[in-house]
Amino acid sequence: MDLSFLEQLLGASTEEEEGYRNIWVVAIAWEAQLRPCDLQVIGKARDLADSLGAYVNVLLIGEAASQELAQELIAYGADAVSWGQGYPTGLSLRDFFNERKPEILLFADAAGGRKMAPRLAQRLKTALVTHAIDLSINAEERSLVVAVPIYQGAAYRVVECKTNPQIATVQAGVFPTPEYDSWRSGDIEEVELVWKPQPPLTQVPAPEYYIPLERADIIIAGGRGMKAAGWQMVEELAAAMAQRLPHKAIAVAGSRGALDEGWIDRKHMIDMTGQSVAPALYIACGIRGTFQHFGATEKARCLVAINHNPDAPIFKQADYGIVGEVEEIIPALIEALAA
Amino acid sequence: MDMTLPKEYDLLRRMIRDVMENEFGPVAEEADEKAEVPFDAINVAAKAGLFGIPFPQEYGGSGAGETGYVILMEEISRVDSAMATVVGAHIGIAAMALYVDGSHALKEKYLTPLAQGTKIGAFCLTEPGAGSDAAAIKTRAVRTNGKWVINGTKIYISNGPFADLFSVLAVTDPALGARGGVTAFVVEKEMGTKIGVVEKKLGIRASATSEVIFDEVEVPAANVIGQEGLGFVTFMKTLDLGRVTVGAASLGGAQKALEMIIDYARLADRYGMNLAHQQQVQFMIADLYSWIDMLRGQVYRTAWMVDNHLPFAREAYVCKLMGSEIASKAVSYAMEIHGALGLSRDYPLERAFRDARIAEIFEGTNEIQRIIIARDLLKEVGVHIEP
Amino acid sequence: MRIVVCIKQILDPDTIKISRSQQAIDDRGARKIMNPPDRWALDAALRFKEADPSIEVIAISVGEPQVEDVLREALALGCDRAILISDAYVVKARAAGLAQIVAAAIKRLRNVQLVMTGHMAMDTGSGTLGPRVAIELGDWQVLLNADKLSLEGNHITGLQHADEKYYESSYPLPAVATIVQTPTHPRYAHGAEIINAYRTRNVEIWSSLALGIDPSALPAPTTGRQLRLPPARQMGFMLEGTPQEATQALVAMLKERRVI
Repeated sequence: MDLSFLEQLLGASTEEEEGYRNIWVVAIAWEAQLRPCDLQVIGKARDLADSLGAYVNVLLIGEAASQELAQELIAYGADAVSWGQGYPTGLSLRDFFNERKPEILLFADAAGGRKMAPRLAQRLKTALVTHAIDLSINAEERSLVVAVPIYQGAAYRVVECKTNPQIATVQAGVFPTPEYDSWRSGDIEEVELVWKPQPPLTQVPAPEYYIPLERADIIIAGGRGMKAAGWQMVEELAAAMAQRLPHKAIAVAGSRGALDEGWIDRKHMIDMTGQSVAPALYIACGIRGTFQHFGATEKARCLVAINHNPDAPIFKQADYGIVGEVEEIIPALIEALAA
Repeated sequence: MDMTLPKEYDLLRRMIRDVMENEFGPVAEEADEKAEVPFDAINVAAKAGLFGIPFPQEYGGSGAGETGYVILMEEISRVDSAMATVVGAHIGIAAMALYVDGSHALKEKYLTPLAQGTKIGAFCLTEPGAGSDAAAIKTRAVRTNGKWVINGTKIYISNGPFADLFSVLAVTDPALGARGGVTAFVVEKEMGTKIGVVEKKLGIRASATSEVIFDEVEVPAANVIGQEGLGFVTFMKTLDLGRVTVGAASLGGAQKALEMIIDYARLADRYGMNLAHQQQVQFMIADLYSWIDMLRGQVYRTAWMVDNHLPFAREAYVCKLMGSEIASKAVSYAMEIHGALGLSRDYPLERAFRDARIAEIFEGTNEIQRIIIARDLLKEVGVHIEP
Repeated sequence: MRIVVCIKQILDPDTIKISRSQQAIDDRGARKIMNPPDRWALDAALRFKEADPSIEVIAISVGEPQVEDVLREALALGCDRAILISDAYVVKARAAGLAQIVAAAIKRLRNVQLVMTGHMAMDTGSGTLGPRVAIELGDWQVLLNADKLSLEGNHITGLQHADEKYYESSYPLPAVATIVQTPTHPRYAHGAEIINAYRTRNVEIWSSLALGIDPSALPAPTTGRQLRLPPARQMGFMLEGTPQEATQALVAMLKERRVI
């Protein structure tokens, strides 16, 4: 439970205690906005801090950092925010944290943190756990326990940090974005670090080859059963998924039936006589599930089937199945994803 | 006895597999459908040295010997049998004839571009009326003004339509015939060879086979491979080597078919089809595995004999005979197990099935191989069988 | 100038198996390969060498003696030299210590202007070697997770993927660049170079002592670790109820499994 609000009412200060005591998160103001990935880390840091009886401090940097965004971070769960406009040099970042002595230091596994975290860890000659998908606290040791995927997700390694500070980068999307609570309050200070000029970045369009079917994280596939509902419903589901998960590669594909109906081209046919795929999630809409379709999707790590026929073989291959008319289930799913 | 392959061969195999899976895998189906040779992929393969694997590095090859060559053919056939025909005709017979008996000067001039893959070779032996009976060839070479003039027609020549260099067997002394009257030549396309009918084939469609016509083609005297009159010996030695690699290609094809069978059985089992549990299917898998494992032993042992300059002709006949029959068996078992999917033109098995048949035919039909093996064995006990 | 490419030998993720009974990775029969992103990094370095033959490309790896095989592969692909840092101490080094060892070797080589490596090791890698080495070399610039690299004048330029956008960024040398895999296949080694890599060429073996590293001063690994397997898939779970109930339950379960 978050008692920091109460403590503040009672006049307790949010100053750091002696030694390595608090959780720090480094957030980056990116194009005048807070990034969802940073907010997710702050949300999780809030949970960890409550179980440790510690505070969540955020260092907000970036050219768009401001008092207003710092205030927003408080509303998202930070107890105190130090902010400064710009990007600090590695040395000043090291000095900052040497002075503040975080017990746990977290970064989003995204632009900025990906480079800052290992460089800081090397300056401190300490360990760093990257790509975390889960964080918890070993209460006895007061140590951070981090789960990271290895062998491309075939297994997880659970790492217990035994350093000061305990540093980790956290993957985007694994924790929910915390609720905005405008009643929260906390300390905000502007800090003066040594800023360094950023080399100019020229944004360029995404190279076309970045999301081929076989590299998609999520595939929404439709079959002949989409006839009554219309193929655009498959596209709508993919769009809703993309809306919810902006950091994932999402693709639309179809079964042999969809090819026969002319809804997809050959390159997007999931079948042993077409493409075989291995996404993290495969949603089969109105696909009966022939053997050839099964052979091409068996490496999917999670398969969801939506079909009106309870005896369709696809249900035996699916992790989760919903029996029903696609034109009723898909809109409901789109709604559930948006919630 | 150390039967392990040195580590460089592991890396060589991985490189070849990489080239085949990345460059040929994605285009093999379309090349077969359109009966077009995939030249873009072939250029990549040539850059990686695939057209000169067995030959010494001084002639632009990789210096991997016969052992490297059987690895090459095995890996090519896993992905694309048509390519195995292109490479087999190029290295295994066309360039090999130059390598076994050509002079140093001739090798420098012609083997080097062949090994580098900048020129493609074809081997011109078969004629109408002289197929497996190679001694019956009629193509004639006559010496005029210090040159040879070649006349005649060769048929079923692999790589014929796009080859730059031809190893050609022609009669130079009709009186002597195969015993001293036949000479081997290397002929450049620019010397005036013509391409006749291009065959439309059932299998190995992404390789090209045609007539090669010699009409008053003038060839310099220096282009004789080995000694005048001993061309038949050169070509027979070359074909002995070629047989080893037909075995190696068959090994790759059969192994791939077995892998497809096992993977299909696994999939079917997960889908809930009662396939892997049928004893009939288990017997097929066990038999195929045993045959393939013995074939692998035979092919690599024969390659080792070649590399160590031991006599290997009989072993090579066995490689070709058993290899081609095991490969045919493997794809027909695979067809049986895959059911209707095996017949789909969008699934690679149908192509493998059409491609496998040729191995029993080219480089001497299996009937001829049997006759020669038997004759050779009987000769040892004093029974001479005249052709 | 010299370009150093850091290469790791890994177990091919496609050849490892999971043992649920032992709750362990079964790596018997797993193949050892060059970490694929490192191969892309090597390819980029060799392209620079093709454009400017005065560039010398040197492959470096750290580990057990059998790691030599990936360095021979690097030689076959076209590296000028290959160096394996191997002794009883360095094989135990992790993260911070490893970066110190690699940086010491790079300093020893002199005139190294660019260090390249894959964006992460596809086995159990953390993707931190590049930025860590940059610090040890005296705060070199880092071009992180880039592809489509070019080397012009005194700058390394590449396409970076950050927060679902793509940027072209450029850094002055000396710099460290980490490279991502793209669908464009890197070069194949020539058959002759493969044979020569084993028969006539040499992998240099360096030790930490020769690099002037005091093994006892290397940071000790500072973490405890154990393996956990994802739960086994249970097929055929049917979600009942109205479309709203069923889809809400589905979204909850997918979230629970961290699929969405």
